[in-house]
Amino acid sequence: MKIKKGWYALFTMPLMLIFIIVVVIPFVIGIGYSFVTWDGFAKHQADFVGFSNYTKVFRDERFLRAALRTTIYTLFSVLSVNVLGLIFSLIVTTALKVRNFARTMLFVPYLIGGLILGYIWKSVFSEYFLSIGWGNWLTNATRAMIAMVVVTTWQMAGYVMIVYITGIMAIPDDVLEAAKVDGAGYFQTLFKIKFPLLMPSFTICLFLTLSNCFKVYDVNVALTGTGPNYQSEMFSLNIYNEIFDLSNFGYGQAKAIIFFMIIAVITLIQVSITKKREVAM
Amino acid sequence: MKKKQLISNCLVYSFLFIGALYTLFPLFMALMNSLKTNGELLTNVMSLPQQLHAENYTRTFEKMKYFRSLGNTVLLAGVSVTLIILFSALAGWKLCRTKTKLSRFLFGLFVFSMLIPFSSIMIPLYKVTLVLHMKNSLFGLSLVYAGLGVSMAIFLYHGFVKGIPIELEESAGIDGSSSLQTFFYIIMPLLKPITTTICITNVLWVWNDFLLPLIIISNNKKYTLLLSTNTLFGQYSSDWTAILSALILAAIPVIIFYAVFQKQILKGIAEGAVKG
Repeated sequence: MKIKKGWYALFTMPLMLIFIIVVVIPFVIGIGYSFVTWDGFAKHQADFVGFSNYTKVFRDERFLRAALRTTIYTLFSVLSVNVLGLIFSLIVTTALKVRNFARTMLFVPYLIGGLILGYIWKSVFSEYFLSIGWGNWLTNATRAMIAMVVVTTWQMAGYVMIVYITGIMAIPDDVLEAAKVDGAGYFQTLFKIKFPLLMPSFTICLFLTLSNCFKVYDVNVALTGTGPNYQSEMFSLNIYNEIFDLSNFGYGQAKAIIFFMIIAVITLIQVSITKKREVAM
Repeated sequence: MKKKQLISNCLVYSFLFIGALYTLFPLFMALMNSLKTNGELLTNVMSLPQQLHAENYTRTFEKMKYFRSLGNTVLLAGVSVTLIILFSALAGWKLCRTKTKLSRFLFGLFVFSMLIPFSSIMIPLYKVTLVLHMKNSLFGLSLVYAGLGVSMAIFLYHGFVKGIPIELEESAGIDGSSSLQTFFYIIMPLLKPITTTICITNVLWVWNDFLLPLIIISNNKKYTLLLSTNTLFGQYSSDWTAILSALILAAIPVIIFYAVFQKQILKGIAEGAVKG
């Protein structure tokens, strides 16, 4: 019995050790940081300031703008990613000859990391657009936002497509055949049968895209960067800049904690909705 | 009826064509323009290159220290994913099969940690790696990835083990197999599908992650592919032919990986998303 316990310890001790060092301790220390002002240098003193970092956040116009911008960007991206991904998935599950090829191809962008594809699209929106006379889109705040949404859609539509395909494949054939026998047309079948049965996939995809877009960093850095007058700075980049550029460790960490709470709420809502659906089905 | 079919086919194909254009256009343009000279790129973005200037590639290939960066990235992804699988398979199984308060608490802890976005622990984690001398160490970095990745992997294993009948283990126990033997000879092979999923999602995650290596690795000998690509942009701020060739070089390994493991990747991603 003792030997067995030792074996388990051999596997679980390193696991717990790493998990505690990498996740638990930083999380706890992070909460501590958010109550002090500190420039990050070990020899400099950190002053306890209570909740003032948190109240300061709500008067920080640059941050509030970044938060609002991220929200708008997220809403548009979630919508366009899911609409396009759903259409793709409906197309590639029909009896097309090229469906496998199409599926494979449409998924490619997701594999290429955000940083690389951000730069690839940067060349499109700045250099190519300039040379065909449309001007550099990335210097204009609104157009840069559109560019962000376009690139995000490009990256993630193929990803949600894969999830929707799984959902569509799971719809039993006899249900669809019954609808056909009853004389339902394509769109009737789509809206009255497929969509309701796809509800679990909708939930998954919506929240996947929601939290991914909200956390966007790589694409933001590569495509637009902070931009003139901070016009393209999103949530994560704002936190990063606050800490590594401006060296406000305490204040930046307060933002990071707020960020965590928002993500946690989004995720918890997702989980509760998914759970409810599971019961209903 | 036939006419209707024809129209709908036309619609489908034209939509697919637009989709293909949208997907492939930037990649194709990047490839095409990476083979021009800068002057040609500025005057004639849309045209095919008059001459293939492969020297853009040889130039960036050396600048990026391509094979070194690639090797670093492969090593990093390989070690990280191995650690994640090693740690989480046993833990996920054990946590699912033991019904004590402790195991429920631990499982809850892992699930809770999945809520934490990376940006929220970035600074303290950075400080911790400094204290533990993990900065600039690829092995240290893969330990960090393991720590960040185990929660999700444990969660997936936990869910998968639920679907395996417990009788299998019990009968193995009766036959005198120790529980560790049971795990390695009976459970682990059964876990293969979910292990594949976890492997693939994590390889892609580590491979494409930029922020964590950015703060942990500053020694350019240890640079990952993304880091060395990123430094190029600073050096060649408007030399787009160099930048584009670097981007293509950086994207090639993933494309090859996808070409080889296409089926597993598509399946793995779908499962990872649905169960996560």
